[in-house]
Amino acid sequence: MDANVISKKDLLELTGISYGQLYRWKRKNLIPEEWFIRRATFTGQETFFPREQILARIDKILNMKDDLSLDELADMFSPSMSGTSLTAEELLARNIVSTTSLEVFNVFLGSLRTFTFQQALYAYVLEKLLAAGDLSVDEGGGLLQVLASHYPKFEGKPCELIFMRKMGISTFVLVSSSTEMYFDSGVKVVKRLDLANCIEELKGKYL
Amino acid sequence: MQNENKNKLDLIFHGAVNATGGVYNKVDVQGYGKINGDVECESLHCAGHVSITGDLIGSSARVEGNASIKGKVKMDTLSVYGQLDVADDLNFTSLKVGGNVKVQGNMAGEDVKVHGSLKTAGDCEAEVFRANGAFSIGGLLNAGRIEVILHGSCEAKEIGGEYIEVRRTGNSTLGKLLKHFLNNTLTVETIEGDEIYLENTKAKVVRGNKVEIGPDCEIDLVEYSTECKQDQSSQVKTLTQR
Repeated sequence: MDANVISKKDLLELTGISYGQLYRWKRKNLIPEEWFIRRATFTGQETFFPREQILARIDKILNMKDDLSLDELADMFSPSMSGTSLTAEELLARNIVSTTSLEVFNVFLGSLRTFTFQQALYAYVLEKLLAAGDLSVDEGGGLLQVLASHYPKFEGKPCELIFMRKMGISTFVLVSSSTEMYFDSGVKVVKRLDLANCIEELKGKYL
Repeated sequence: MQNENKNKLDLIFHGAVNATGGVYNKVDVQGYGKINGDVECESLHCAGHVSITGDLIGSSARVEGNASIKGKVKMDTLSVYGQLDVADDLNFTSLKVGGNVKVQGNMAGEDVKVHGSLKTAGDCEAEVFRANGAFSIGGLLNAGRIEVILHGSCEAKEIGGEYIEVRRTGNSTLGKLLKHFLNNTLTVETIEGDEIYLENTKAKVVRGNKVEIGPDCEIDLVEYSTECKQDQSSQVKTLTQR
């Protein structure tokens, strides 16, 4: 059996949740429809889940459901943007960006007093890559440019950011999730970032 | 809000009318109407025949005649005593089916009551699903509480939820007479829930914490974790505790 998936039965046993809870979370969109993988087995059709994703998600739900309502959780997990905006000071105070990346942001996208969720996301992605040392300050412009001009086209659908370098020249690509991509051997993929995950992390910092 | 509604026009059909979509306060169809495009309205009442070529969005609708919508439908309260056909998804807070509802896509909402017949090609999600009629669900029926009283044949591909109860109709004389003509069973592949009670059900797999198999069921596999009861008249091929 594929080690990357877990059957519904094993999942319930492992996590101790009930059928009722699983179905309720599905109804509330805490577990995305795409994660329910139906496969034929000798007992008929069974449902499987992507192992790591579902275990991480259930862990989060169980840890956070005391503090947040199911609807709030659903909002947090949804890849769509929330409407709240924050000021630059609040972004700094909540450790969403550092002063360095805020300066980089200001150079390329102009200095803003309030950030919409989407702009905060761009700043957060920039911060992530800068802080990890994957990105140089000069390359930040390319990143912000690709995000600002192309990310809205995904309209909240899951997508991935791929950052690669060839012979010292950096390129940023936005692709819809689970696309397979192959490069020539001179290309070094520096980082692949699932933006839905970034949104989730960012929403966590917003609360 | 009051002022806002005053600015919106009513769209009232008496006779045969073709109209264009748009934002209306009240849409009332007494004759035969065709609306081209999307319709957004506070309330829709159809006592005749209406067909809408786009989406229908609003807060309440009552269909006593015949309505066919080529797009999505999003309504807070929706009651159907005639026939409603939806070619795409149906979203609602509360849905009452007294007549006949057919949905080509998925349906989702809070509260469903079926007294007539409900047919959907996709999934049906609700917090409470009560049926005292017939239904056919092409995908998953997922609700917190599912209460079914069987009238005619009911079917779903999968059923999942917290509490699931399926009962046959009371032993009325008419019911007994018609028993041989009507096939009062629920046919489903898988039923999964916390607490399950079943009568007259044909299923491949039933899984739950507390499972009670009432009379006249045919089930291939029952898996339970805490408690299981079985009526003598039911057939269960395999029974396991996990």
